[in-house]
Parts: sequence; C-alpha cells; structure tokens
Amino acid sequence: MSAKEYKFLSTVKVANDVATKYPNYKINGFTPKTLAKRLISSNSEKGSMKDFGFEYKTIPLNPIQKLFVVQEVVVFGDDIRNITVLFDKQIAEEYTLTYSKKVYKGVCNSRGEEIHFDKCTSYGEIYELALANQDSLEFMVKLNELDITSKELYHV
Amino acid sequence: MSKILKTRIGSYSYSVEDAQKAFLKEKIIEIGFIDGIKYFDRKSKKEIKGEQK
Repeated sequence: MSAKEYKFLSTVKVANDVATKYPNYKINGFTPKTLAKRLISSNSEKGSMKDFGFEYKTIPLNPIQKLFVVQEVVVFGDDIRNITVLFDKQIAEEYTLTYSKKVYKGVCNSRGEEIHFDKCTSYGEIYELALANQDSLEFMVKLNELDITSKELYHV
Repeated sequence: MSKILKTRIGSYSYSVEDAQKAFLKEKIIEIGFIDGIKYFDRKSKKEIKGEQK
C-alpha cells in the first residue's frame, strides 16, 4: 500500500515527559506505535492518553479529482492560452479574480468609458461583466473545471 | 541510589529509563489508515498490528 491511498492521516505527538508519566506502558504489550494506534483508533478512554503525554490530530486526505484551469480565451477566434492549473476551487476563483483584474485593467467600452473590473469582488461577478463587455475585450479570462476521470471541461 | 524507578508488576519490570529509550525515537508518529481497520506507519510503511511488541 502506498501513502497516497490513505484516506486519513494521524499525527501523534508524544510529550517529552511521557517516560515519567507512563513508564509501565509495556505491561500490556504496547510499543510507542501501538499506543499511538490505540489512541487514534479511539480504543482508549477519551482523553486518557493525553494524561500520559499523547496528543493527536487526524486529517482526511482527499484525493485530487478535479483540476481548475485558468485560461485566456480569444473573443473573436479559437485561440486559448492556458495560464495556470490549480487544485482548490476557492483558491482558483480568487486567483482568477485577481488575474482578471490585472489583465482587464484600463479597458474601456465602446463609449470610451472605463469598465470598472476593479470593483468586482468575485470571479462570477467579473466574468459576467466581461461577458457583457466582450466586444471591448481581446480575450476573456475563464476558469474551467476538469474532472480528471472525465474528458469534459466545464466552465465554473 | 539510582534515580531510575524500577518496579515489578506480575512478571513485567519497567523503568523510566527504558521508557525514555523507547520514546526517544518516537516523538512524532505518523499513521495512515483507510477505514479504521488497518493502520500503517508512514515512515516504515509497515502495518501496525495489534497491541503486541
């Protein structure tokens, strides 16, 4: 079994004074590792191991199933330029919002008025504004979601 | 007089010194598991079985 297949990972921290607190740990055939296992598997009374100097934290290991692709898509044409790929949707949306503001900065509409992309607070908002003003843009920044088990690419 | 506490319970003996040695290498123990049945030491990648030595 490789580590990447684990669904959970527990990190058990052993206190410096564990030997003083629990010198007779071997009586029941324990080793430090089996004690740690007992702790995280909840086979010990809740909190009792903490008295002996053990603390732990368990985190789920979520396998990556989706990728978020930031792209520049040319408005009049078929060209697509990949900017970056991210794993987390929230981070991807924040990144795309920041990136969009940077590249749309100073763009004006057909009446010569500046389009205030800088006032957008979410990716959805800036994308809608870009969509409404696409005639003024050379390209649009899009965030697409790719399920790595599928061949399809979805717009977020 | 030794500072080490040595006691005997049943057929087992233990000491703070032995415990110190055992835990010296085990300050942080990382364990990976899937469903709460099998547990693996992430360093050695070996299964941690039962509660035996």
